[in-house]
Amino acid sequence: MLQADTISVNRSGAKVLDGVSLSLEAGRILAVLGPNGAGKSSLLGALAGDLPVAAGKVLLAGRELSSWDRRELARTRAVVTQENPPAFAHAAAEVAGLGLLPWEGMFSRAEETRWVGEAMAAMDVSALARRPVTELSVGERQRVHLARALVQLAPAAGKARFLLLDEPVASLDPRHQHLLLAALRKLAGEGVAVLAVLHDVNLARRWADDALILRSGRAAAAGPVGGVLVPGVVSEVFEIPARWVGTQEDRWLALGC
Amino acid sequence: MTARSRAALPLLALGLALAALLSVCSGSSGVSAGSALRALFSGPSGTDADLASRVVWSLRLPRLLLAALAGASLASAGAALQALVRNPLAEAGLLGVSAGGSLGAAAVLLLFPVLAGASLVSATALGAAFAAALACGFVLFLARDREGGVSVTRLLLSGVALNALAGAGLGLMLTLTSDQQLRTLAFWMLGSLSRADWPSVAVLAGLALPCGLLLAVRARSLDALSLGEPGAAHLGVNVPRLKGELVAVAAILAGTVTALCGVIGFIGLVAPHLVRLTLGPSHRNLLPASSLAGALLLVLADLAARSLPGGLELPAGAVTALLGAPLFLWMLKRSRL
Repeated sequence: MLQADTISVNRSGAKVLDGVSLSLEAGRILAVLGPNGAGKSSLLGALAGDLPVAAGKVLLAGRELSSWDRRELARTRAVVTQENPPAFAHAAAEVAGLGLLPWEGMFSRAEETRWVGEAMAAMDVSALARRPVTELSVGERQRVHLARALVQLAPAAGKARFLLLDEPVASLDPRHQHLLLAALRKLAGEGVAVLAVLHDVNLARRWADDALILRSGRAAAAGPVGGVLVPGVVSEVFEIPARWVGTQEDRWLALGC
Repeated sequence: MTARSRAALPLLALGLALAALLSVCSGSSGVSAGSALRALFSGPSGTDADLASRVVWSLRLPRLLLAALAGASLASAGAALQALVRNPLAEAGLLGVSAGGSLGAAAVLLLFPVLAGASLVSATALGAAFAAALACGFVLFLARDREGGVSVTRLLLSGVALNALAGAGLGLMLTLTSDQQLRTLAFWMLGSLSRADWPSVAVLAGLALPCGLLLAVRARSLDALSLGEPGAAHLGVNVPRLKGELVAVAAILAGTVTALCGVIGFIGLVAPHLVRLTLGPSHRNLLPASSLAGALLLVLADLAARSLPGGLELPAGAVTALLGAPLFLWMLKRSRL
């Protein structure tokens, strides 16, 4: 279980996150939503250990984040941040293979190759394996990074595992958005706790279990997606009109109209 | 490992071996290639009577080995610094490591003129350059930003400042020297392998080997650094420690080479770049291949430097700069900086 207990984060003196709590259990997908600048990436940074928390604490599998051994932590949770172009022209398969860095020396070359192959197939990037990542489109690179995260967690199957993603579908076409979220659903089915920053409320309703909506560094709403991602809350937080469209059984949110 | 990278290492090693043979067989002393080879394979004779043996075993062989080790060291230092700053344009000269080394060595040569010309000179200069390079490493460490990481911008700017400072120090010393010292200093500052002897070879080998091994162990972490420091940290890499190791390794390698051979530029830039173009950036291939390529380049540059008609000898550093500087400008033009 991943827990944040009233955490606050300061960046250059300004409070970007103010007393946010969350709790994410194994096998569930938590979508974090909110307007630009609401603190979503700061929350992810605090949960990943990149940003120090000014107040409150982050617990991963019951242990405070700062008490984790680096390698142990990397074997337990993977993070994919927003696109950061790699410095050198590594082949896509090499980048995906970096997921095995925390497991260096534990497995045979054949096992490593199998894990990388499976993860790249799951993210539909097998055909790009030998291409330099610097030549891929942003969306393709995003999927390669996700394959890397899948590789990183693959050997820990059966143990507590966590996946933190910052806007994983931001640069993807609709098919790959659904492919990626379906892959996350499958991972959750295997017991991985997934936290993803998303912008699309309908994707979140369709694929996530719970939602946390941030506004100005505070939690504006939290709970199961069915209760949180409804016209009233969405229109208030995002300050645009929102209403249901479709039938009672198969409905989605129309925004801005 | 692809077929290409499997073939590259043996090919580079073969090239280096051929260049080494060529280097042992050629020189201005009038020893024929055949007698040089015979002297090489019959081992050191132990007496001064055999001219060929003396030339090969006390002049050409140490010079060849020093060139190979220095080339490999400069290439490794370059690869380490490029991984550290995530930019293929980084080099020991850029961070002020080489300048610090030459300032330290020059200080020893000038403050203790008794030693100048003595066989002890490399060992003494080594101590000074080593200290200077380490001091540079420390100053670079001080280039830390408030959040505790070494910021690349600060690092590069510190390098610029250090280079200027070391240059000013050297300039000051040059104005204070006698003409004879000036000649010694100038020749040494341009970078040359003409002072090679067995102690220098032993010192450089003793330092370069552990540094190379450390880099080899960290190959995959260096790849991870390509994702950026947070990305590497998420993969379990101890980023602050890795950065410290890279700065230390680069300072030791480049500082020592500078003390023993003077400033030899661009090997650290050219060798890793050529390897990346052919084998890709994976450090498991890049580190061994660019070490071999750096060794090959400097052996060839030294060979070219002392094969001029009329028995003239150019400093090897001038040859590497002549070839390397245009390549650097070309890379700069093509890069997205």
